[in-house]
Amino acid sequence: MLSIENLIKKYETRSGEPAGGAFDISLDVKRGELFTLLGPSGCGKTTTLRCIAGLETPNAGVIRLDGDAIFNGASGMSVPMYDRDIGMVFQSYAIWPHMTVFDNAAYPLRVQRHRRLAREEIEKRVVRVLEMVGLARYRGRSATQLSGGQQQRLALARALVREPKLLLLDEPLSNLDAQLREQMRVELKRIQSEWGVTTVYVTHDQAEAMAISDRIAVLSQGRLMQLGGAEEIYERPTSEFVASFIGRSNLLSGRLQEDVGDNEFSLVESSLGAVRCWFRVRASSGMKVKFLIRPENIHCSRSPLDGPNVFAGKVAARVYLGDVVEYALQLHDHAFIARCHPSVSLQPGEDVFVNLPPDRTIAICE
Amino acid sequence: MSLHASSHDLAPKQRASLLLRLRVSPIILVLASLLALLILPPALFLIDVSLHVSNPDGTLGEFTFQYYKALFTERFFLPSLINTIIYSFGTAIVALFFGITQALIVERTNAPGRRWVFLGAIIALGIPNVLHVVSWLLILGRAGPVNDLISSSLGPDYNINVYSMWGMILIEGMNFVPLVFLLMSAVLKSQDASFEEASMMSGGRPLRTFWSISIRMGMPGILALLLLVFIRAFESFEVPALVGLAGNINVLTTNIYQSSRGRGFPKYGEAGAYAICLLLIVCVLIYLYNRLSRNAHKYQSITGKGYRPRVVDLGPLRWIGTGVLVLTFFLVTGLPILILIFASLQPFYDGLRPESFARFTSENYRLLLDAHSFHDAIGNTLLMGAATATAVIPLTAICAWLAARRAPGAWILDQLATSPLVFPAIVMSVAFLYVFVNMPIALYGTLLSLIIASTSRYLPYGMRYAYAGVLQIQKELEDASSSSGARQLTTFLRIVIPLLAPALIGGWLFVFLLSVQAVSLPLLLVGPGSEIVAVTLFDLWQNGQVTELAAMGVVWIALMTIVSGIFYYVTRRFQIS
Repeated sequence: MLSIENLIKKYETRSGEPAGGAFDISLDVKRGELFTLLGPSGCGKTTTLRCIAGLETPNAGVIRLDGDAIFNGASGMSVPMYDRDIGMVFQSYAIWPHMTVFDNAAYPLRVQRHRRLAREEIEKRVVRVLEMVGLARYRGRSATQLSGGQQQRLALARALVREPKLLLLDEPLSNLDAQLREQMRVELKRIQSEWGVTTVYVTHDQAEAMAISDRIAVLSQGRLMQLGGAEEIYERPTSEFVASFIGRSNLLSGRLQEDVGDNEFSLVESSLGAVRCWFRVRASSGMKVKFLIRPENIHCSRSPLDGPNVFAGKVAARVYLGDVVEYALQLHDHAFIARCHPSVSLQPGEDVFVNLPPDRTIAICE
Repeated sequence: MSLHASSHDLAPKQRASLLLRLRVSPIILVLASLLALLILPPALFLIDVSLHVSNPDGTLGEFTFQYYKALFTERFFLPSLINTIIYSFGTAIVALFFGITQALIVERTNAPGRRWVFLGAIIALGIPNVLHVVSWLLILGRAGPVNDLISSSLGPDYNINVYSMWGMILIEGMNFVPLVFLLMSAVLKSQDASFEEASMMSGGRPLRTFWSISIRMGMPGILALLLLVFIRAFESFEVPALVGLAGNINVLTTNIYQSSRGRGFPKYGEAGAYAICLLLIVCVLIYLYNRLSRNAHKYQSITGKGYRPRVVDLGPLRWIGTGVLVLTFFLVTGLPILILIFASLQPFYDGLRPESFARFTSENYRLLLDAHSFHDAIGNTLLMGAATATAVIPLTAICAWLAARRAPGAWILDQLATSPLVFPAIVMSVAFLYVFVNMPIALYGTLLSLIIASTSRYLPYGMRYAYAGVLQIQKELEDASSSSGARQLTTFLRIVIPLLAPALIGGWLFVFLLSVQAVSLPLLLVGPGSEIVAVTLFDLWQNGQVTELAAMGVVWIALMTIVSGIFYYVTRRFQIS
């Protein structure tokens, strides 16, 4: 539906130093999908979104919407933003204060050039979209009288009213308070799947991204780090950055003992001893690799455990969180964090055996 | 049981603190009386004098309404009022047209060199109004180059008369262009680009977006600006006095001037009645303005974080944008300064003729530098400006801080310090004239009397700077000082003043710049030994000493450009709004 090839957008500070942007980003968004660009601030996610919208002109690359190029850096072709048929919800919502709720939502239909709509048609479509976001009874109200959450719904209604090919959402929930944010998250997902509109969503909140996305692209410093479903990105990160940005993880480095193929297990020699890890891609013997394991995947026990990857250590500290207990462990010279079920109750200073399941011990070759 | 006892213990304490809260601190009482002393006497004298028969010897006779009755019965008042309205409205239109065009090009396009317009506006800020008017009269007057051009190309019978309504409107309008530009560019700068981007993303083309979003959202701001210029023109004096009186076009401010300094004995009662009327009208206008601008702010307040204004790429057209900017700069600032420089180098002024280029002379400057009166005037003016600013700023700093922090009773300080805003300068001049003439101490005509009058006049301006400055300081910063054990005075001196310093320096320079170029306020108050530059320039024009005036003006503009340059630097450096 939307395809981006080798998109480059550079920014410079006044003194000419590079200052953020997007470097060589390529991705494909499928029809009807909710696709999220995730990353810390300054990673290029908003830049990429604004390039898709046409609010920024990229330095190079090609952007295609539904097969037709809307930007082509090589030929200098760029469809102006108002002809792109893309709806957008801004971070500040940008609800026009001098118009009523109805006028705000009707604006995209009223400014259409290629197809003049009859009054009744506009009325019908605006009412429908306002009903969907639950604002139909506020239609005559001035936009200044809306609360934050209502402004957000109105911004969504305005973006959807002309049934665009693509919907862009720029951190739409970041201006709402925590409770409302979760409510709107569910609402947003419902409306998106009801309308079946292809959506690109920008956020820096990993929990938000994992909760609503079909697929996630993790960006860092203007580059695409990993692309995949929420589970895949969490369970099988391909880089240290992704592993530490999404969730928490224990990270160690070591040396690979033998050649290994795609999706195979092999031993990595580390200061902890030989650790059996899962390799996503092939790697050759002698390579320096890192491996990680999520805290909740570590099995802890007072009595010795069977199987591979069993190590002995000590409990350094214990934090009781109700649903889980978090332990700071000392294994050889390494500090580990493990999250266990409260039924496993260990005390600080106690000896402990841990098991790192090989299929959860992920090798990273960067 | 123990809970019960402790809550019982608390009650008397709470009652005591309530009493404490109701008590107004002595500082506020002192400040309020000081402000009242500056503001109330002129206001009361004005009312008093308009309600009593004025005797030829200057004393007041019995109570009467005759001066108010005369306003509505004589055929002079209504035409003046209509003239004032036409003149003010025309001025606002001219100023807004040029000012908004400039601001749009500077803030919203990529025309090369657009930032230089700020420099032009800053230079203009330092040019006294009276010089601006005079230079336009030199350009458009009977002997000026424009009339030369017209009569030489169309025949000797064709010429334009600048001493007319359109002349007044044009000159005063040009005068307000820099102000409109600065205010409008601040408005445009604070507009969130995503409002326009949202329109573009909804399929709105650039023109449609400009019309439906940019203009409509800017409308309350533009209307407020229109009213502001209208008010300023309504109470203006220089153009009505130098252009209007010569063309027999009377407005309210010149009526007041003529009544108090006309032929024969001064008609104080008549001037007073005119002044009270003008004051009431200005009150209503300012009330409307405040309502309008609050409305404008309501629109501005719905902005998100991280906004930046949208800049339109004009492509090859951007040089036309630059051309427009250069042209308006030339019209508003460049041309007036050039004609003054030219006139200052002539033995006498009769326009821009080929032969006049053969008689350049530096005689005017030589005379000027030798003249004691010139040195005195410059010294007096700088002293008056510095003294006024130095009196206004500390006073308003304390008042603004107390008012902004809602100290009990401090609202009265705010009200008092901003109230002079409703006095047009000429009204204040008349009022202070009565006060000083009737004082037992001989203050009339002294430099001190000028300083007192302008301190009172510029209190609101100092207040505005200080208040905005205090609002920028987080309350927690002061609370942290109090919780460290500092008393209120220590907190004010050690925390508030250092943080407020940039705003106060900006305010000081602003008050200085305004007070040294005012004509109408000191006009009725100066006496021998207290001559100041702006009034001297005014008198030189009345005496027809054009070339001396021009030389003095050029020197003064150079001096003031330095001051306004520092002002600009300070406000930029410390981001004072």
